[in-house]
Formats: sequence, C-alpha cells, structure tokens
Amino acid sequence: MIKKQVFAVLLMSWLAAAAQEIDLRALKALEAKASETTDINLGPEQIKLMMGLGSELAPELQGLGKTVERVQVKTLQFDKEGAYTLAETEKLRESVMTGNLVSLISVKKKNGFTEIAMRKGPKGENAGFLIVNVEPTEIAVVSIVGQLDLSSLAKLSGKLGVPNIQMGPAETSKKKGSAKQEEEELF
Amino acid sequence: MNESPDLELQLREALRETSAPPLLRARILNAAASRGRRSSHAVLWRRIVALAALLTIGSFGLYRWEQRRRAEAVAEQFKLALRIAHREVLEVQAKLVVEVPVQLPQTN
Repeated sequence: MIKKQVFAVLLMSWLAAAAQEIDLRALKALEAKASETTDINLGPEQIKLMMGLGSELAPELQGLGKTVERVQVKTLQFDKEGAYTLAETEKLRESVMTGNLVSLISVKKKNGFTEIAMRKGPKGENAGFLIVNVEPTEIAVVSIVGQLDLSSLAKLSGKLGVPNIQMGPAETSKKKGSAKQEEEELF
Repeated sequence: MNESPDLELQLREALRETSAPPLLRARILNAAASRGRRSSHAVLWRRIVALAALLTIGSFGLYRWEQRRRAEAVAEQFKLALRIAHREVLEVQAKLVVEVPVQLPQTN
C-alpha cells in the first residue's frame, strides 16, 4: 500500500516536472538554418546539483536556486532575413503558449511577434514567466518556472553578469546599444 | 665417587646419536611450506584490500570532481539564461518605447 502511494507521489512529481517543460520541437527544423544557437534546459535535478556548490555560489544564485524549478532558453540567430516563415513561428507560439499563462504583452507585426506572459500557480500565485520574441533574424524563447517575476529579474541588474541596466520606460532605448555591447564583452 | 660412573652413563645416554623419527623431515618441510603459503595469501589479501580501498577513494574523488564540474557548468548556464532573459525583456521594452511613443499632454 505504502509502495503504491510512494509510486503515485513520484509519478505525480515527475508529471508535474515534465509538464513545466515547454515544447520547443517547433524550432528543430529551423536550427539547421541558424548561424548561432543557444540551448539551455535546466530542470530540478540540475538546479539541485548546482545548489550543491553551497556557499561558493553567489548569494543571488543561491536564492534563485531555491525558488526556480526550471529554466529553458533557446535562441536562434540567422545571418539574413527570410530564413523562416511566420507560419513556422506560429507553430512555436501555439506549442509554448499553453498552461496557466497570463499574457502581459502581445505584439504582432508583419515579420514577427512578441509575447510576454506570466505563469500562474494553482493558487494564482506567481510561478515564473515566458518570453517569446520573434524577429526577422532572431528567435528567442525564455521560460522560467518558479518564483521569479520580471521585477525580480530587473533587480539582478549588475549582478551575476547581468548588465547593469535598469528596466523601465525611461532611457531604455538609449541604453539598448550599450547593453548589447556589454553582453558581447561578457560572452 | 659413586656418582661418577652414573653421570658418565647418563651423559653417554643423553649424547647418544639417535635416528630421527620417521617422516620428521617431511613434517618439517610441510610445515615450512604451509607457513610460506599462509604468509603469501595474507600479503595478497592485504594488497587486494589496499587496491580496493584505493579504487573506492579514487572513484569517489572522481565522482565528486565530476559532480562539481557539472554543478559549475549548470551555474554558468543559469547565469547565461538570466542574462538572455534580461536582454530579451530590455529589447521588448525598447521596441515598445519606440513603437508606442508616450503621448504627453500639451501644456501651454
């Protein structure tokens, strides 16, 4: 009886963890055309492993490791425009915009779209966010599952290698160039 | 003076050359050989135990080193993911600021 209960709990937790993972198979076909790709998929096991470093981790990272359950990032960069059609990227939108998401920003253009959505937990609490940004030469998907919202992300400016640029309406467009430059130096 | 011949007899008796009991030589040789075998077994076992301990400690060290290397790689990936998330939010924000300019009220 106990064995069955333990098995059920394990199965439920595995299903929950699997459910948090967004489906990025729609980007598989485009990977071959991309000149540069970034693929990060960190689940609970990897984050637990990272937490094993203990006090060697930066305090911010220790805090995030306790609250974030999954981190998925996929970026594709293309040398020239027209490497993909909007229909192809629509598949991506359909496959990732599922679950308890509350759309914050949804912008559609003729050559791309942007979606920023907050993830809600079962009790309506904040449970992460999702960013999908499709531009003529770049596709980026960022999915965070856990207690990290955009304002917490903004607070990381200047820490953990995140460029020290405050998110906010003022001066953002002016500083965009320097953000890219700073990141290029970091990478 | 009576005791002298007895003593002499006793000495003679004691120093009399006698033949070794049968199979003594074989027994001695067997005992020596088995002691040698036991000693070589003990040495072999000690070596096996030492090797096993060395392998266990080595494997554990290697495992810990590998775990640490993987944990450091995860930490780097985590940081990179945060940087990309931050960059994307900034880009979207910049795009919105450019595409949807804020209309300030006209003041005289």
